[in-house]
Amino acid sequence: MIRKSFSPYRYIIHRNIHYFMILPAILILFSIVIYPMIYSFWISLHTWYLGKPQQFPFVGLSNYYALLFKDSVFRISLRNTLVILSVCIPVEFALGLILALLLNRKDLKGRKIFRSILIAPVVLTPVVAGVLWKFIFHPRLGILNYLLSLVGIRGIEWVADPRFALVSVMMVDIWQWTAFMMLVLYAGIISLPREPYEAAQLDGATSWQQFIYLTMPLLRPIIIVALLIRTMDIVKIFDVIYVLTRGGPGDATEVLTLYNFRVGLNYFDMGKAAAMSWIIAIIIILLAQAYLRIIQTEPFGRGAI
Amino acid sequence: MSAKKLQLIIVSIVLAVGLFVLPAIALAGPQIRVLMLTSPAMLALRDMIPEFEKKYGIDVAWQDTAYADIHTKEMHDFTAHTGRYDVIQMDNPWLPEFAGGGFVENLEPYIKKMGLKLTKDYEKKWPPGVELHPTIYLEDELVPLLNFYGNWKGDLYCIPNMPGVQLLYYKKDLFENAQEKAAFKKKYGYELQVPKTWDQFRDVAEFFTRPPDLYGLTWSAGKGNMAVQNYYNIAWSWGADCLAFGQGFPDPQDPLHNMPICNSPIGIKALEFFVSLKPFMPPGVAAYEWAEITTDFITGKAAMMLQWSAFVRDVEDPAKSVVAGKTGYALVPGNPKAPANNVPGIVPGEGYASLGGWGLVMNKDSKNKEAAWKFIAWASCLAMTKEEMAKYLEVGGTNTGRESGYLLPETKWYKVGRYQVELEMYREHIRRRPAIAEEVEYELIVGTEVQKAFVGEKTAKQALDDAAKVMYELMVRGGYIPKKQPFEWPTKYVNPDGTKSGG
Amino acid sequence: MNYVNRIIAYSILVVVSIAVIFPIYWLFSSALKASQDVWAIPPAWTFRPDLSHLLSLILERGFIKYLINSMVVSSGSTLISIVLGSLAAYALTRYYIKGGKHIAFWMISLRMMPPIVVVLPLYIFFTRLRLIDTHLGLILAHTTFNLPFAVWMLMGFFREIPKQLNEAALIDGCSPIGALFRVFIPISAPGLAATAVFCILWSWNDYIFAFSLTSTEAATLPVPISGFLGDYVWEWSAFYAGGSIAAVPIILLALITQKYLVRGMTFGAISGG
Repeated sequence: MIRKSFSPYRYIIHRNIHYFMILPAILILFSIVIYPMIYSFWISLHTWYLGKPQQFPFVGLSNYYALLFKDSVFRISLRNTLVILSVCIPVEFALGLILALLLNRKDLKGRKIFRSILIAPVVLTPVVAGVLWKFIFHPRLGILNYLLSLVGIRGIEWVADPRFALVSVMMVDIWQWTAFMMLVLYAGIISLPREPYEAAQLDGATSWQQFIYLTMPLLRPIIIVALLIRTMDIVKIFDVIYVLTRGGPGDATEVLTLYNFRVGLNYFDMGKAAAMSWIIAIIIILLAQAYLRIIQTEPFGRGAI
Repeated sequence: MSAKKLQLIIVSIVLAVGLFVLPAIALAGPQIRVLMLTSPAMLALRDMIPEFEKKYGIDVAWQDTAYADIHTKEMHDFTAHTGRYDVIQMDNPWLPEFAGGGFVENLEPYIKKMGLKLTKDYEKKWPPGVELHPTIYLEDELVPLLNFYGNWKGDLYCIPNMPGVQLLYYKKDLFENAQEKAAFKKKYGYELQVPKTWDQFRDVAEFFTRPPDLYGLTWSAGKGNMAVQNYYNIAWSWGADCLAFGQGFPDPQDPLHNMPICNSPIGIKALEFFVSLKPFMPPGVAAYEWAEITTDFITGKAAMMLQWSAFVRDVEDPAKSVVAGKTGYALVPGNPKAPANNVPGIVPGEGYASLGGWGLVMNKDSKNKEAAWKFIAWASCLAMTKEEMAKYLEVGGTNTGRESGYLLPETKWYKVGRYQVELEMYREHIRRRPAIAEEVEYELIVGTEVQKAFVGEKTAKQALDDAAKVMYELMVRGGYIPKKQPFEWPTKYVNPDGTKSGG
Repeated sequence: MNYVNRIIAYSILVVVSIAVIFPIYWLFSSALKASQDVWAIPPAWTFRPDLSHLLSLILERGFIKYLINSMVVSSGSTLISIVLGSLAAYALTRYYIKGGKHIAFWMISLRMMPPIVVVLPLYIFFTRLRLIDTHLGLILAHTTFNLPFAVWMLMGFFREIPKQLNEAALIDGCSPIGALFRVFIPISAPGLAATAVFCILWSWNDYIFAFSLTSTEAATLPVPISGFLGDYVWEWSAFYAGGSIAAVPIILLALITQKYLVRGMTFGAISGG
């Protein structure tokens, strides 16, 4: 006999190997993500204060109702998150696009150096970035106000003034993540096909026209990917704000995840915290749906599915 | 199976096993784990740990963490009953939450076993003015400290090891300067002196505000803890308090007694006063955390500072501070115009500050309770001799609950005049934050509104009215007020003008 | 005209680069400053380097432990995610699996989840399972994000590799697992590398899981670093030193693997690349 012993089990495994390959991943994700999320949903339907763990009354959807309609801080945190989104995304996109185009020009030397420099903030630990900027923003001893004082602008309270606190947070986010946009757009630009450009050149199109009518449309899937990823990440923003302002002054920089964290891990109001985390999750799921739908229909986006 | 694959599997198994073994190894060996607040005094205590380990033969695994995180960590451990930490440092307002929740151990049996003298006074009960439970006396521990920190329903759960109270720090050279004195007299019509009333305080702060190099005062209205504590250091001496039961405990019989009164007319006036001090403070105070106040003072930027006594260590450190040796300490100012019948039970004209500071509690789930007690007794100086205590105080710069500690003339802190003032404050001039388990939430609710008033986002009245509304919901949620009972002014206990009524 | 154009382009790049790199320069230079210089106004542009803060962190306060924790947790989580993720991605792209599309979809949406949804219940579970403050616990927690992410990215990369490669290997007598190892993995190595870099990056920088699920033994770098800004003590020098220690390895990694980062950032959403 040449063949090794042939057991029916081996045969089954052999035939269905692909199911077995995917099994470990599914098992782990189920136990570490799906099950906790279901448990979290279950908690959100009760009132549960961790200091009095025995009391666990079922309250249906009243946590959600209270959050959406009676909790003013939740609405403020939602508003603040939207403000950050509506400023940071366009700014990061515009700056990133400009930089990506510049980095693509063959006639500029030392592009790799610039690119390396610009990557640094993206990989810096957000907590470190937050504390670092807290020092930079210090009204009297921070370097930013010092530099501003050289041109005659005095004493801006970056973190203590409610008018500026949100601006400070946005500045840190833009500083850190513009390069991310730039890298994505850059990757997109260098993978664009040449022929349309050569054809346009022959037809006498200017660089500006090439940009508007060729680059932008061809980049559409990339742009949308980048925008959606950044949007979902900003909804989750936490680390920087936690160390920079802790949500203050007042509620000026209170955002969704920060308030959620506070309710859950400071006040120990687990039912309300779980409900809030589900509301945030639903917002993100909707955004993810939009992303996947667009990716699937884009001609150039073979995408993730 | 290829050789490479076999290797991969073996490596993975080894990794997995190793990861399981690592934590087991870490827990081996007889030792206790302590969780303390990251602070100058505790860092000094940590340096003395080797002596403790040698003296008692107990291994100590030390962990310290910042204020914002320590409550979370402690509650996590308690509610999960892991007994991860044997001894925990507790901020005094958390006593209702910890003792009331059954998370900490009654210390009496251990005290008795050690041979220390503990008595209970059933005649003169605690708290003063409310008188519900016997007052506890322990050796030479300062009675208000010991009882505010550890007296829960007549039993002792906590020993103070790092009490704190705010003192008025001031730059002596400014106040003794002849030119300044003359100019002040000319402008305000009375002698320049260390302010004893809030009006004088305001005048002095205004006088010394000369931006950008000098400000009259540095303080903080930081979100939550900072804002609410500093505000009440003013408000109490004006006769205001936050809940109708004032300095006592929530009333299980009468929910009216648990109503919020933070928006009383007195409270509003006190907040307006607090806000009026803003022009005399450096930019940025609205978001300062405690340490930042000190930074201003030790760089010589402010004439006065109201700050925790623990920071004297930094102020008197010549390596960091330009005002080392030139700082004076005084009691917090009072308000002679305060009404005589007031909720927090204060004497008009006297100053009152929030009782801050930390004590040590023993985890009920601890597996090494004897060892844990030894650590508590040592770290709170109860088990220390006078010489050991002098040495610790010299290095640490903060005191414990023992009265004799404040009267050691050889310590530096006695010499600079700090201990005398601190002792005086503890004896007569402290008030406590509301004794509810949800104290942390209270600080953020009221503290956020106070901060908003401070930065001008709301008027004092709006801020306190909003705070009262949310406090009402908090009291309902905590079960102190039944849901059906609407938010109303408890005239039975507090008059509409904020003074105390019959009750 | 072109010359002026070039000048403008360079200027923009230079100005932006300075604005971008300045805080990082500030971080590293402040780590080397003596206590007085750190807060000096006007700032001490030239100063005498003082290594005492770095050394005190490493030698007296056992900071190396956190560095090691970060490395262990990052590599552990990345390893699990890459191994299981490539198996799953391989299966999903090479074979027809019933409901495969749906599985892929929810794996991808898991990457989008806000950590807070998972942190609270995980905290409760881990407490019961005694996984709090263990390396294994944090590795598992990080896998919640890294594994779906790895599946997602690897699917994108694997899709670009033609199926014929597989079939050729199978014809030559390989088992499917053999095909995976001997042929597929080497070819997709760049994709694997890109995914690995991102997993390490995310794990290294995570704060919310590390803070909530660890305390002394398994805490990764972000935890003690944020703790330096306590309420009673502002240990700024310790922060700068610690922050630099945390930043150096990851910035080096990013610079070395730059081209993988660029490739990976497109998330498999474009062809070729």
